Amino acid sequence: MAIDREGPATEAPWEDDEAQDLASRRTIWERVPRWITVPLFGAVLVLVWQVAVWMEITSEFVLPPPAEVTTELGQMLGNLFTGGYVLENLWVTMQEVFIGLLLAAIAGIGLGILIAETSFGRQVVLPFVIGINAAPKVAFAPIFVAWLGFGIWAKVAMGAFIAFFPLLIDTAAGLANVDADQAKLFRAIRASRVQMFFKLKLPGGLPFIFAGLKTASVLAVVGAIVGEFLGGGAGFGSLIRIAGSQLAIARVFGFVAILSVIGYLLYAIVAWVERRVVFWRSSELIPGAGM
Amino acid sequence: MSASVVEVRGVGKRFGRRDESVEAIRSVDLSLASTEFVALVGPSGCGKSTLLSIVGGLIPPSRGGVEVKGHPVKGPPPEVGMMFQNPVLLDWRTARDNVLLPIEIRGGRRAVETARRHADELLELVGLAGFEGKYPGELSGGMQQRVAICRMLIADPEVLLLDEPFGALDELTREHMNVELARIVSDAARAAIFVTHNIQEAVFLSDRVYVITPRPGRVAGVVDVDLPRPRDLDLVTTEPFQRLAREVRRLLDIGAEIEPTETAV
Repeated sequence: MAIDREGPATEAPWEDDEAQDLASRRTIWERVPRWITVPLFGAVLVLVWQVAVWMEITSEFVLPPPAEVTTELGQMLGNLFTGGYVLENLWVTMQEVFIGLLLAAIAGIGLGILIAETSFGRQVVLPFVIGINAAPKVAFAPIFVAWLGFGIWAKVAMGAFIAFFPLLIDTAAGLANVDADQAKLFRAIRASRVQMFFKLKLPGGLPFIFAGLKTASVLAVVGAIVGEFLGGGAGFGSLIRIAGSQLAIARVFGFVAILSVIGYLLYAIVAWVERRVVFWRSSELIPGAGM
Repeated sequence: MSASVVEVRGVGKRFGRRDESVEAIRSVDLSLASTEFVALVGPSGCGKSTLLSIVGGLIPPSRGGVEVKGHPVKGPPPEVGMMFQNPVLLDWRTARDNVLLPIEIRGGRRAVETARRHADELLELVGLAGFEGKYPGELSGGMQQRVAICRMLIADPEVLLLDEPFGALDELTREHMNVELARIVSDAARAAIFVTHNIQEAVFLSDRVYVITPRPGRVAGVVDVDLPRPRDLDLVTTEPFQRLAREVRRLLDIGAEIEPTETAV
């Protein structure tokens, strides 16, 4: 992709007008490699932050300088890799996220299949799904705590509960999205319903299902943290809540930074698996998927 | 001429609810002998594709009936192979596995094992040797349609139903594919019904051309194509070919002028 768009200076601009035209339509942000522009923009954001601190717009308690956050983050990472309290709490949160995501995947894909493939699911179950989806899911946290206590399971439930809806909807949409011509072909070669499901609808719906899984992988982290905020006990959510109540905002930033890296890694793992499984197509081409 | 493999008797089709239904086809009769190639020619929306779907058992007729090899059609008959305007390949299967799909559906994985050689032979026959392991995304439109030809042939159907199979291809590729199709069909001594709106294509491929009128689809006339086989593209410029093409054109023009009279159903 690294084509020299400047071209030799001797060439008159009208001589290869089409190439020149295309080149001129490429903005500077398309021409300069992203490994330069992205960190540069990050540096600008940090600079704005630093300037805001220097101008003393607000107290350093509320907006700590970048250096302090970096120090805090450095200490955290040191603690993390030496097996201190950060690792302990991260492990708790990760367990909640993974189990939550797993349950969301099972329930989301399972119910998605039920809704897409059976009239019972479509006619009778779907209204309940839509109804519960319309409710603010965070409000269910006290119920999960009451049912499952202050251990990890209330948080697992919260993570699974929040993550599973988009996955369900994407699964159902993916299975319903079957190409009319392909369906006709399967009927013409006398495929049974089961064959049609496994050989056409399921592989055809995989891009949608993975789009849902990617959304769910991020939401599972959200759910686990919300669960820890409200349910107490161990985990990063609790650490953040405590740091916040002590106005240790730099530490909150540090925890959030680690969490976003975890969330991104989880997303990247799902995206990697997707590229392996759905090798023929990218879900990013599907409008509306992963909502 | 040998015994007929397809009998279409008084087939009519209405779509929609009783009070505001649209008549797509009206009382079509058609008979196809066991090695015969028949084309259905008509303008877009004349119900020729609908008729083909009825013969293929994909949709039921409103009146009349279809028999394939003496059995009334109540669903897709096993003796029939179909091909559509688009290749309709599965993106996640290689060319070979796409060809083997009907075998897999019918006989499971064990049947696939024994048919693999046959699939490769078919792919070679259409000039796709070396492409067996490629995915549809790696093949051109013409190559994809060749894969679809092989998929239609893999289960060794006696009747081929071809719904504008090369309609989505460019003119040059399409002519080339027509020559290949004519060769494949006549080599294996199969019967075929070919739907198209291209007069040249219809005359070039067929033993008989059924001209279908629009709305509702009816048979305006049948043109016997007594041109020798095998045919090549040079035939298209000859006087007998042109004469037959003009005859089809004339029937199409007459068909277009006939005002359909509504009859109670």
